[in-house]
Amino acid sequence: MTQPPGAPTILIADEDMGFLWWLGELFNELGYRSLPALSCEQALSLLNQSARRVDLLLINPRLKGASGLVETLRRARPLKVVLIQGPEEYQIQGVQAVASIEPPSGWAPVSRQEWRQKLLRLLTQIGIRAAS
Amino acid sequence: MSSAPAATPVGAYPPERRLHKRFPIALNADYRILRRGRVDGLGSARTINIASRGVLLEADISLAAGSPIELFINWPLRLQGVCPLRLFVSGRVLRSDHRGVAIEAKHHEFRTAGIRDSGSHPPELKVRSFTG
Repeated sequence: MTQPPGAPTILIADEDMGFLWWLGELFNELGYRSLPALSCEQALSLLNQSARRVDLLLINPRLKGASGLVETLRRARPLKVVLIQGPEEYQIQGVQAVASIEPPSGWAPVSRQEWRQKLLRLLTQIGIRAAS
Repeated sequence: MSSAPAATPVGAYPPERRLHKRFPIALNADYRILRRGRVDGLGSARTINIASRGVLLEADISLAAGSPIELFINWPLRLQGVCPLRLFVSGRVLRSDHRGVAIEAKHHEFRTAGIRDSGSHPPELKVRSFTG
């Protein structure tokens, strides 16, 4: 899979390997570069190895070190943050998130098309466009 | 959304709601079957779906239920364009039938493999450990 050189980078941090992989694959298909991380510690490690600036962070606010990760990333440049969470809301200290996204639950199969549309709406809403 | 103390629960979000969700993700993977701590078989597979606690595979052969297994799933993008990123999953084979090979994940983590493709050899550099 090849993304255009200016493709925005989306860092995703969530402990659920299935949802993490799913989001990452969909973002890649939509023309973004995604970096999946199972923890905030791993997110920082990946960033050090990829030397890449992050345009958007999707993060489960219950991850240990969430506020530290946001603070570190924001030292480099302004960063939009989307929270991964269920109907009940969690927040990260000092972080004004631009949106939140709810992982699917229950037994119904997830729909690729539905989730592509959901992510496109989210990206349009917060103004993160794929490189043309 | 307003700021609040770190990861403040506004309500209770039971994580188990997400446990059984399976995400249809088709990626190439390598596996090795272990026996008494030694490699007893190697092969290639393709993921059918990934959940927080397991992976369903389409494999070239049937695998014995109960066998310890290690799986390396390839992430479609490379760090800095060269460095492969893989999800390492260790666990055991739950079943192997016409629906595929179901793996129960006991441990998973991301690993990078340097600039070489590791083929059937295990990746070298551990990014981070996570016990699921």
